[in-house]
Amino acid sequence: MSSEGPAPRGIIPFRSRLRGAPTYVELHAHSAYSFLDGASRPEELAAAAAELGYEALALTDHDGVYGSLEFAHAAKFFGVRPITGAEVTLDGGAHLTLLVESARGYANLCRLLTAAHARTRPLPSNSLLQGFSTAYREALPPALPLETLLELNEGLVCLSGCARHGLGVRDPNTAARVARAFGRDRFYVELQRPFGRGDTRRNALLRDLAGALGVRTVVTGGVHAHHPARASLQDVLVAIRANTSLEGCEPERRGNHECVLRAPAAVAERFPLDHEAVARTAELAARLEFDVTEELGYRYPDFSEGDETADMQLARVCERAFQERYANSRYRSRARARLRKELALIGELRLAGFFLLHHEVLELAREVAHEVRGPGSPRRFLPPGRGRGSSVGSIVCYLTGLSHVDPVEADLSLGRFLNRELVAVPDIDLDFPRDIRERLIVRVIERYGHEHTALVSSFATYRSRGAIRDVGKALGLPHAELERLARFSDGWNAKQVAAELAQLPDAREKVRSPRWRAFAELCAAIAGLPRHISQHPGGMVISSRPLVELVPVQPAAMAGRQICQWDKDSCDDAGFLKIDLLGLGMLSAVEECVEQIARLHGEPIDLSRIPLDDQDVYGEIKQADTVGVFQVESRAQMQMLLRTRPENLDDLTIEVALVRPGPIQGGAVHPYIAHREALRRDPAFEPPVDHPLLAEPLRETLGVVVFQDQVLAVAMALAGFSVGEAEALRRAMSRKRSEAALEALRGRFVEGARRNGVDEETAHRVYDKLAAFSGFGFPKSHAVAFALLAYQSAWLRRYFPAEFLCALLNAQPMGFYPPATLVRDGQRRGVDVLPPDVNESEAKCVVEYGVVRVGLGYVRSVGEADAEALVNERARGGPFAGVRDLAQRVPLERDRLRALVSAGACDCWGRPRRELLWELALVPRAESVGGSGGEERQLALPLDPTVETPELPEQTVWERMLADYGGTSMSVGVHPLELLRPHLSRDLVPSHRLGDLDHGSDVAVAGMVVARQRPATANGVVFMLVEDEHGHVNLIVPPPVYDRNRAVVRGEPLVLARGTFERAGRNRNVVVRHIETLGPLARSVSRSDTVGTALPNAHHFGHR
Amino acid sequence: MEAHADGTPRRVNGQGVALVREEWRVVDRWWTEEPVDRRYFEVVLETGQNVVVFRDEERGGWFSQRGA
Repeated sequence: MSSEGPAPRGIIPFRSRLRGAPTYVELHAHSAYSFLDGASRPEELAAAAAELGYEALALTDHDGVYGSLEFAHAAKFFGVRPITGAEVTLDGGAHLTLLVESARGYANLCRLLTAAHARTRPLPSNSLLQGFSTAYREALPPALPLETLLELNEGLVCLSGCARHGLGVRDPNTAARVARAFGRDRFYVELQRPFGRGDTRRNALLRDLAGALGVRTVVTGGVHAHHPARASLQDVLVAIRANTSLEGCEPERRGNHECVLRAPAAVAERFPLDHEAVARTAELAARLEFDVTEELGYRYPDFSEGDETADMQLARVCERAFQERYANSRYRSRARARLRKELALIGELRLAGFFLLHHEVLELAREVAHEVRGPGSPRRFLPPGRGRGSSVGSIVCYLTGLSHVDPVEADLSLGRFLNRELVAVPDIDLDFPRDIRERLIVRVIERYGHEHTALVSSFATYRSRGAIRDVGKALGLPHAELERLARFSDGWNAKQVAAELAQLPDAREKVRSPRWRAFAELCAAIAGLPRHISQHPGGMVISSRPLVELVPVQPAAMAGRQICQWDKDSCDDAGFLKIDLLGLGMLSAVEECVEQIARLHGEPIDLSRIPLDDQDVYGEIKQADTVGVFQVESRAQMQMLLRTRPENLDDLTIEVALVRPGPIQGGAVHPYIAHREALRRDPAFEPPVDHPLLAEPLRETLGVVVFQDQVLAVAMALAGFSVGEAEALRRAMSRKRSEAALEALRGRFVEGARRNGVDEETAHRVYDKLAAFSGFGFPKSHAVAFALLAYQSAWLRRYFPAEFLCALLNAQPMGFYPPATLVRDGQRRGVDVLPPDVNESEAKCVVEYGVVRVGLGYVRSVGEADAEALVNERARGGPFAGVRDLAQRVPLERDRLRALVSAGACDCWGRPRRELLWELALVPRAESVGGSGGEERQLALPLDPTVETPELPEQTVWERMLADYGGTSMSVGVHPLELLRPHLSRDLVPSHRLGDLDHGSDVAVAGMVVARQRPATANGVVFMLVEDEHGHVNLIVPPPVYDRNRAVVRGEPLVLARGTFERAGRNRNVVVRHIETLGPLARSVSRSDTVGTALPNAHHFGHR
Repeated sequence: MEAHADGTPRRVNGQGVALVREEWRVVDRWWTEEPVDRRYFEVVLETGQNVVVFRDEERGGWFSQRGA
């Protein structure tokens, strides 16, 4: 084969014309925010563009600007000028590329994208669902009406679209209309070279089209990945999107791996006939000057209309509350000074409107709370919501009702919340009971208008299990094997899948298969990529200027809600005012508890007036008797409580903040415990610190960083940071995309510390601790708010145990323990719990005569509506006389009636469940008349069954217990270990006898697994909490034991563990050497195959 | 088959290539035992004949495709 030779005719060697080559700018690139199409993160594109020598790069994701701010910040960081754009889908499916030239253009792009999504979530056709605000709506693809595009074109440049779906290719006549609307300077025909068959002919036609329209051509790459190594993933994403395998989506795939970002010269080489169209990209890019990081023009409502300025309005609101709250307070003068200072600062920062807006939202919350709770409700004493986060460090927040903690009395600093160097508006977080929050979100949207407010979005990203299932399916791997691996897989991090695969027994075989090899590589590649948009738990953004001109807004899955296309970090970058309206299960439980107490005792309690120093309550907390108590009920918290022994709200505040990833990774936990124990022994003990400059900022937490605010205090004290600089450090720590920023701040920190006389090693050591803390910690004010709720819940649990248990059961799912464990704990504390009963129970759990009666809604497959229908019928027609009466009076499906019988809800008639089930099957019931749509019913004849009930054996105790667990997820009767105990070896130690053992002795224990934790901070150790008939046992499973017995540790409900008993202070643990399932024994003893499925699943926390 | 330095065909079956009308690439089945990586050319030979040839990048070597 010859290496040189004359070029074939028709192909002009392009390289010769590349001398002084025109610069190429990529104007069409998709990131992973073109969901399941783009294979690279925006910052990967930005970094690759910088490396390849691009001066600028446009991000043009499908029908959205989801990643635009993330991209723009990353691009600027890498020295590449970001261009904002999107590839929009028109009605009919053709694509157009829109690029932003000016601020007006950006506003129009946002409006266009909002319009494209406006019809993506139609209401369900089922008219029954239309009235429900929580109804979910199926998604349709976005589609932009052509007329809207023609109308809102100012400030935008339009390219005719991609090679496959571009308007120029699919509908030249419509392209001509668009070209006329945009004009010659703002409409270009787009030429792409994806190396598909037909490129030459298509581009020739497009050149002709440009000539006919009198417009120019421009080259683009249609980039879908930042590097050739990511191109295979792009194929896989197409398959996932099509919900099929790679083989099954050949027509949808690109057919080669050419859709990646290439060097400008390499792109130019592909267009030998279009060098001017290549050069034109740079000319056009130069015009696209809009910078989304600088020119958004966001304003929050300023309330300046009328004679009274926003500052004056805020001062008036605060003054009125000040007179009420500090009338006789000993803090009055300090509070007055603090208020003056805060109001002056707020005026200076022009933030009065911001506070007034929050105040207004809270007033709305009051209205909503009043409606939800109903007039005269005992919950009336409770605030509609509670402040958390930094907001509670402000007296203005306290006086405007945004926080319930007096910052003067609690000695909370304002620093982090408001300071003169403030670069972004502070967040204000509000927790609400779930019912109030649901209604409030819709009310806020109604109040400020659909154009001015939306929920913040969040992006579901690929973790191990999702990656295994999606990538595996695309590769056509066997479903059963994928499920096995998914269950076996531990982590959140899909990059670990290859390592997990290597641990499978048939790993060697798999490695030989190209599909499995590709699978391992692609799971790592897909790790962390966004899969789809969803809704942030409670963040809302509100804007004075229409929000739909700042960020596109699209309907959420839930009817009545809409979300903006930016996540929390992007909204933060944009400086948007964000209000977090969060639903907190414990607030719902506390509210219900208060209601039950008022109903039962005739006297409502006011939780704001209970004593905060009740030593009986602290006595239980110190004993770690805290199952069900907010924030301090987890296994880790209990172990900590036994050592730290909190005695007051300040101690509890530290306790709440201490068991968090930040303090754990920052190495704060063990020193804090040691210092606390030392202080208990010697009240004169001075906790050691890394440097004397840190003694004061860390005094209250005994020399370690526990609260997020202390990161600021340390940075200021040690490195001389200003408040603003320290805040920048905190922000860098709290974000998911901030490693580079965090390292950039290290230099400034160390330099500042050296100026303060701190040696470099100490400075680095302290910075390492701060970086390890990395934002995963509570601000003190947040911890104060949570500690108060923890105390209130502990108080309710101590003095109203039945009402508290009842409220917890009704607020599920929430907390650390499954309902079965809450019930057992209540029973140990003397609370009687009765099973569901069709003639006694309400739909929800209630307390009657001091006893908790489980609600009918707890019976699996019986929904709330079914339970209420049954209760209503009972109220109307009196108690049910038998199963026949029940079946004929209540319009429940027969299988739900069977569930009621099986779960013991019909035991009230004193007949065996099997007999009732037999009878139920023979009950004649009214049937719908066919063709009447359920409107007409054929009544049942009141005939008796013609067959007699055969003699059926009684259920055994095992069968009844398993039926209880299987039917209601709990059992109020016998514990499975009580039944198993006689069949177990006598050397097994029950939980209540563990205390008799010596530290280090061999021990064997058995129990039902209640909770399992694999914290990211524990180096692979698994913590299990198992329950027997007497109480709980903590198991510590070291990594080698876990690796040998993953299936048992992760899936078996009943286990037997052998190991070493360890006593650390008052903590007792079993370090496991061997663990096995008790499943076969239980199946054999019970003569039932349902043991594994009937017993409740343990709650799982942390890495899987 | 003879090719230029840039990989485009120069002679096919002893005939000179008068014109390369189109070039395209196929990369597929990379997840299987038989991955496909081909560089296709539709060429007009000096005889006026239209042929499609491809270079198999996986196995090496040139092939002509019938029925193109």
